[in-house]
Amino acid sequence: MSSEDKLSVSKFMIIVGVITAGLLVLYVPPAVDFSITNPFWNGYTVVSDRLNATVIDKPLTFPIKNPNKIVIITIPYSKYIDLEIENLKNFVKNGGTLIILDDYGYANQILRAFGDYVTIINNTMLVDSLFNYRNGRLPKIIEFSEDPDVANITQVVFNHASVLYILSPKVKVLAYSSSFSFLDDNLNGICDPGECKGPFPVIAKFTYGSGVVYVISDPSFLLNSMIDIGDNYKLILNLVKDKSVWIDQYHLKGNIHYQIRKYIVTVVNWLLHPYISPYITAVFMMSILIMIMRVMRKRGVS
Amino acid sequence: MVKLCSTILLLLLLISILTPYIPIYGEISPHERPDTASTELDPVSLSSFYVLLFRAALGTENLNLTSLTLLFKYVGLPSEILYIVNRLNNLILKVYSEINQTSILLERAKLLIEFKVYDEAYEVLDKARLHLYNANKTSFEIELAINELRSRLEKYIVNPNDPRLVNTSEEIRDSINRLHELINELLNKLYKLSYEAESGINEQAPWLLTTFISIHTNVTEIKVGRDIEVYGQLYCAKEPLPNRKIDIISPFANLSVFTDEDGYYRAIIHVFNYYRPKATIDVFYKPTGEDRNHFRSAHNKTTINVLYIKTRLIVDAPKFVYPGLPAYVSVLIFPWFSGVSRKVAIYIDNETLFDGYVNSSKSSFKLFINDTTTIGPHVLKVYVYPYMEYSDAMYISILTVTYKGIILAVDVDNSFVVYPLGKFNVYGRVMDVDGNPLVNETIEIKVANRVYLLSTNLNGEFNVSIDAPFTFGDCYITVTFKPVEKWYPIVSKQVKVTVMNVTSSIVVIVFLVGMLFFFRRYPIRLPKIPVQKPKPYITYKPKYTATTSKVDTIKSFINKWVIFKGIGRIIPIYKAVVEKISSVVGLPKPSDTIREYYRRVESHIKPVKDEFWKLTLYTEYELYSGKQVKESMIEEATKLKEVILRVFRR
Repeated sequence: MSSEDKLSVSKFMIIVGVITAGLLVLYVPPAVDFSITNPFWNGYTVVSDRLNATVIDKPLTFPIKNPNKIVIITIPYSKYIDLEIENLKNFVKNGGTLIILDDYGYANQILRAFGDYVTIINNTMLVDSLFNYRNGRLPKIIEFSEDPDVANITQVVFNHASVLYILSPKVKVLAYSSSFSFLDDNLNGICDPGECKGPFPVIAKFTYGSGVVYVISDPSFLLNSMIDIGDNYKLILNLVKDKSVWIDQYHLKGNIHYQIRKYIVTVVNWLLHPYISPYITAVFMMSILIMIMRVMRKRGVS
Repeated sequence: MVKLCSTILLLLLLISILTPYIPIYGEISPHERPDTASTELDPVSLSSFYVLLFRAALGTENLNLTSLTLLFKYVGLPSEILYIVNRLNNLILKVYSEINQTSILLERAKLLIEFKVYDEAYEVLDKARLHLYNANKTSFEIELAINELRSRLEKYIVNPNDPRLVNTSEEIRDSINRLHELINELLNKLYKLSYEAESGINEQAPWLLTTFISIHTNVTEIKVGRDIEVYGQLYCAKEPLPNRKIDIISPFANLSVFTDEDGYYRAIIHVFNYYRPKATIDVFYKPTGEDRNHFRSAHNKTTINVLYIKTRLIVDAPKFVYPGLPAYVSVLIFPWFSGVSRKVAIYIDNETLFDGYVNSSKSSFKLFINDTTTIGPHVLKVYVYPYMEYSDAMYISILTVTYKGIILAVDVDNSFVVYPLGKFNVYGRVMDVDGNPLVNETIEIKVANRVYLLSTNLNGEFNVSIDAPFTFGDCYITVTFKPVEKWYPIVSKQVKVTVMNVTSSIVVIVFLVGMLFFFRRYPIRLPKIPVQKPKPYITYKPKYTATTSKVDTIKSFINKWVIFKGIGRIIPIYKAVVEKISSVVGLPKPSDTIREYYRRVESHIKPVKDEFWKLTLYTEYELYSGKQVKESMIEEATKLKEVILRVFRR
C-alpha cells in the first residue's frame, strides 16, 4: 500500500471513529443522577414523562410568564448566580411554586435568599433503623401533618436523605421522620452516643409573596426506581397539583458524557433549524456534485 | 496515530459512562438502588418498639396498642423474621384482649355478688375463667415467640453487649414478668369472687323462693341528654312483690326505687356523659329484712342504643415553640351547634395552659410558654369537654420547644495588626431570622484574656475598638451573643486577626544577637572523644607485609583493593578516608565490597558512621552506576571527608 493510500485510509478511519463516537455519545443515554434523559434506576425519566415536564437546561435568568400556573422542581447541586436567585424570588413572589429537592445543603444558598427560614443539614444522613424499606438508609416517612398537601399520603420512602432545620415559625412542617430515626454523622448505620435522634422535619413549606416554596430533604425519592415505592408519586402529584411542571436540569452535576452529549445535541438542533438546514443540505449536495465531477474528469469524460 | 485516536476516544467514552457510578458529590452517596439494596435489620430498634408495645398492652403508658401494631406494616423486616413478628403481634393483641375481657367480667361478677345474684355471678366468673385461661396460655406462647424471635435476630446482632440491646431485652423480660403478675392478680381476684359466689350459693337456704324481675324501657334508642323511662315488675310465683326496693345500675346513674302495690317499679334516668353506642341497664332485687328468710335475689338487664354526635377536633399547633414567647394554637371543633359554648382545656405536659369556654367552632389561643420550659419535646393535649349529645374529644401531639434562630454577623476592619500600638475594630450585627435587629442585647467579646461587654444599638449593631493583643501570629476573637430573652440561643462566632508583635520580635532578635556574640567570644569546646583502641575485627592477616611504614602498607593495600577498577573523582576521596579508618580500625578483606567494609567498621566509627555511609553510597554510585557524578556530589563528598578526618585527627 502506498503512503498516499495509507494516509487516505487513516483519514477515513478517523472520520469513521469520530462519527461512531458521536453516535455513541448521542444514543447511549448518560447515567447522570436525576437526569431526565437517564432511563436507568437513578434517572428522572419516569417522573418527567408522567408529569409531562418541561426541561430547563439553561440558566434561570429568563422571565417566567404566568408564574401561578407553573411549578419549578429544582435539584440545586451547582451554584445559582445572583440573577437566577432574583428571578426565582420574583417567580415565587408572583404566585409561582418552587419545589427544592436537596440532601447536601447546596440549596441553602437559595433558602438564604428566601429569608433563611429553613436550612438543609449537610454532611449527615437520615437513618431510620425501624421504619424503612430494606435498610435504614431508605427511611419510611410515616408521620404527616394535617395539611391538604399531604392529606392522602401514608408513607413516603426516602433514599440517603438529609433533614431540615426549621429556623422560623413561618415554616409549616408537612412530614417528620419517625422517633426511631437518627442522624448518622459517622455513617456507620448505628445510632452512636451523641448522634441526634428524631423525629426530624423532612418536608416543609413556606409562603413567599403570593407563591409557595416546598423544601424536601431528598431528591432521590423521585428516581425511576423509587417513584412507585410508597406514596412517593402521590406526594409530588399533590405538590404540583394541576400546574405545568418545569424540571431544572441545568444545576445538576453532570459527567463528561453528559456534557459532550449536551453540546452535540445543541449542534444537531442548530443544524436542523429550518433556517439552517436548507443551506446545510445545499452544501452537502454541492460537495457530492463536485466529487462526482472530479471522478468523471479523472476518467476523461468531458 | 489512528489506533491512538480510537483508543483515546473509546477510553473517554468508557470513563464518561462510568463516571456517575463514582461518588463525586461528597462523602455520602446520594442514593442506592432500592431493588438491590441490602436488607438490614436493627435488633435494638425492633426491641425498643416491642418495649413500647408491651407498655401499651400493660397500660403503663398512654398508648394505643392497636394503632401501634398497625405501624408494623411500615417496619422494614426481612422475610424470615416477618412470620414470627406477625405471630408475636397477634399474640400480644390476643393477650391484651383476653385480659380486658377478664377484667370486665370480674367487675360484672363483683356487681352481681354484691346484689347476691350468685348463680349469674358464677356463670360470669366461668366465662372470666375461660378468658383468663386463654390469657395465661397466650402469655406463655408470647414467651416462646420472643425466644424464637431472639434466636432469629442473632445473626443481625453486631454487638451482643450493646447496652441498648441489653436494656431493651431486660425491659421486655420485665414486661413479660409484669404480664404474669397481672394474670396472677386477676386469678386471685377470680378465686376470691368464685369463693364468694360459691359461699353465697351454699349459704342460701334451699327453701327460699325464686323471685323474678322484668325490665323494659320506653325506647330502645336514646339520645344523650334525654331521659329514659325504665320500668318492670318484681314477682314471685306469679305473685307481685309490692313495696320492695329495686336497684337500677346504669352507666348514667345508679338509683333505687320501690315497687308499687302490683309489684311494678318505674324510674326516669337522665342519659348523660355517655358516648358509646350501647349501654346496659341492670336491675336488682336484693331481699332485705324478713324477705331474706323467704326470697332469693333477682336480676335482669336490658341493652339500649345510645345516640350521640361524635365531636371532631382539628388542632393547628406549631411544631416548634420558643421558651418565653407565646404560641398560637387554633382549634376547630365540629360539628358545631350555634349558640352553644364548649369547654376546652389545653395542657402542656399536664400543666394547664387554658381551661375555659369557647363560643365558636374555630378558636385561636395564645399560649404562653414558660421561659423555664426545657428545650426539647413536650406533650400538647387539647381536650374538649362533652356537651349534651356531643361527645368529648382529645388531641395529643408533640410540641418541640426550641430556640428561635438568630443571625450573628461579625467582622474585623483590620485583620493584620501590630502590637503594641495597633488597634482594630470588631463590629457586627444581630438579627432574628426575619431580619429584625435585636436591640440592647449583650455581646461578649473575648480577645486573648481580655473580655469586653457591649450592647447592640437600635439597628442591632455593635462596634468596639480593641488594642492589639499580646500574642504573636493568629489570634482568634470569640464574639458571643448572650441574649436576655430565653427564646434566643447563646451563639458564638470567631474571627481571626494576625498580630505582628514588635516587642517580642525585638526581644527575640536581641536575644539571638546576644547569643551570637556570646558564642563567638566563648565558642563551645566539645569534649574530646577519648581515643578508643579499636577491637580488631578480622582475623585475616594481609599477605602484604609492611616494608617501610604502616601508612605505606595500607596505601599500597588499598590501591590493590580489587574493587577499585577505575579512577573517578569521588574514589580518591573515599580512598583517603579508608586509609585513615583502616589505620585505626583495620584493613578490609580483599574480597570485601565497600558496603561490606562499611558494615564491618560501622560499630567502631560511631561519631562519623553516617558521614562514612553517605560517602560509601557516593562511591558506589561512581563505581557502579556508569553515570557521570554531579559536582554537588563531589563537593558533598569532600565535606564528608573533612568531617571524618577531623574526628579521626582528634
